[in-house]
Amino acid sequence: MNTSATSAATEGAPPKAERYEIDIGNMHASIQFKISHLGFGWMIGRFNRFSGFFDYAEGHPELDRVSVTIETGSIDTNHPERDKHLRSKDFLAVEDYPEAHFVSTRYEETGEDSAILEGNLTLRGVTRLVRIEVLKLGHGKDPWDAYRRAFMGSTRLALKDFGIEYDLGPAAREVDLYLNIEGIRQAEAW
Amino acid sequence: MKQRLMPLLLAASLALAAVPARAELEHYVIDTKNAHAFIQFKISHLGYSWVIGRFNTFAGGFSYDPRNPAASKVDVSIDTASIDSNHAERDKHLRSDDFLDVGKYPKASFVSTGYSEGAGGQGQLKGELTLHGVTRPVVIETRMIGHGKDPWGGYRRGFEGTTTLKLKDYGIKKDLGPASQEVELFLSIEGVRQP
Repeated sequence: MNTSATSAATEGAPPKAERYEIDIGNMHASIQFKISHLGFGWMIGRFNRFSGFFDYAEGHPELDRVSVTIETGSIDTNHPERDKHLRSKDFLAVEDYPEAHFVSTRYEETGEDSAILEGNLTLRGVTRLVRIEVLKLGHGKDPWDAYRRAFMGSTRLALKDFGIEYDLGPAAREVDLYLNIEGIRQAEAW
Repeated sequence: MKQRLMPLLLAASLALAAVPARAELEHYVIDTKNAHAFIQFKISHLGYSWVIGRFNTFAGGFSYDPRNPAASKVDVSIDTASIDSNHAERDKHLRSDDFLDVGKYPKASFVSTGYSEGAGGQGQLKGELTLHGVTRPVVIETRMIGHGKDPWGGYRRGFEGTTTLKLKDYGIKKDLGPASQEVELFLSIEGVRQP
């Protein structure tokens, strides 16, 4: 009886997602990449500036969505000369394409802590569907009375798919992306 | 023709085998000049996400003997003030005496004490890590990424490694909560062989 009353009440109010803003104010998020250097080592870098949000509805993955904007000029591989090259037309062409965007199209939970996130990534003016393997991290109150929720994601992109034709050799045709995203829940009135 | 060559080739290879195996310790300088090496760390933020950072300035080298990997040695020195977590205020705090106390301990160092390598380039590197003035033995799980000639006439060899440190083991008393007692290190090291 109780159960049916509860479910009736739940059905009465349509499920609503909570909105989380990615915590860039205190930078509890990172967007990193890794690409092979000649097959001998790695080049690891990050984008220092980005912003975005995600919507999350417990038990209603169809309502979950993610939107992130990355400032391509903020690429940082701990080597200014290389970063300059990466910003040039050989790679990101940041003057023509100052931003990269990701907007999710589908989120599917595949396990208790795992999910697949699909969405359109626009990079260097090319929009392609990408598939991100997601790991759900923790969530809960922080010591400052806000509520946080976090995810990790990884995906692999072929440079040529996004119009980057510069040849770094056979070991470096693909780049791995690692996303580490912590969001702060926003008040209802968004 | 092939048959006649065979004994010759066999003789040649026997002659080569007869040369006593000599140590072939190759010396490599870590390519920090062109930043083909990275020292990263990752620590939990309240058990939710990660704070990921790196040390921007470090230097070192390694010796590697392909015939006798156990003879390999590694030596790295890290400029602790070069910590960079993409958040200037936090980095300032990490440099303070709550954490790395870089005024007092400007360098961290790692000196290897042993190395074993198994199949597929997987290995274990043992050594002494000095951090925040405390020296402790650490074990780094390693993997050889690859080696070979580069397009500029040099020869390169790269390794990656991971290890986990407890902050308290190194006298870092600041408590970041139960999920953040340990920090993971990820090392990606490419060296250029020296003549």
